[in-house]
Amino acid sequence: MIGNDIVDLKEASLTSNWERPGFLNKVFSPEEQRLLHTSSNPFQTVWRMWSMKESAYKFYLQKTATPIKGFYPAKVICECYSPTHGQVTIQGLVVETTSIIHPEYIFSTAFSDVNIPTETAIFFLSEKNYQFQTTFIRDKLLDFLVQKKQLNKIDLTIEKNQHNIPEIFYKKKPLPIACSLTHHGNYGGFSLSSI
Amino acid sequence: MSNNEKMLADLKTIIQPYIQNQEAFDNLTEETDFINDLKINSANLVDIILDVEDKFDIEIDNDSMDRMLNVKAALEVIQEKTSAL
Repeated sequence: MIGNDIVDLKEASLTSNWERPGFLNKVFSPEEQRLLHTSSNPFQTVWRMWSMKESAYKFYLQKTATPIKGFYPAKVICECYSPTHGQVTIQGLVVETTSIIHPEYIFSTAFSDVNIPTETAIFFLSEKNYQFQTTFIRDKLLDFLVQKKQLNKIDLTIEKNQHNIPEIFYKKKPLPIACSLTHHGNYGGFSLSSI
Repeated sequence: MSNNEKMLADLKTIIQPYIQNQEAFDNLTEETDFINDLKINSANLVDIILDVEDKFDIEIDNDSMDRMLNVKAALEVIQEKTSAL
């Protein structure tokens, strides 16, 4: 099981204003807001915690197939143990996260066990068109599998299930590989782990 | 324009800057889902809620916010909150 989320920091600064009145209250718990107020870089901390929540929620959906009713971000709680390592609690489930803090983006990955190997790739996307981006990332993911597992690309497909979680099929049979796809602004990527 | 049509027009104006699927927006119905159909990213969903609060001068509590995932539910919440003023 795996979940990921990328935030293009330039895109976030252009399209979302976390400083507008009410924004933080709708997304973060009082404890998370305290952390933000003491942060030396609140902009970065806002989007780091945001990507932690998103990646953890994707993980949770993949694991439980039970969506949280309504707007979930305020119902999941982040704890940051280091600039990269954190935990998110969702409906009693504790999910581990690692975050890559890059000057241009923040990329978080959520998983249950640090010992399960994962693969992650991040790409610059030249176009912001939604269809271009999903096609590009899916294609890169398939290329990766072709190379790593010696599979025929033509027999590989990615389909989203009813909860919008992508699943990988080979000759129409599901592969025992969990994957997560993300894109925002000019960045995107995929993450893989065993199931 | 009836009140409901006006409300829908205002809502569409608020949503438009955040959509990533123009076709779904052009064919918008009450059943149109903000995330699954219009591909609005969830951070911008917060902006939409805040824009709706500003535009209609209402406060949307967490329970109402939970419902506002499609056009129909959003209109219902706006109707409830504005009629309660």
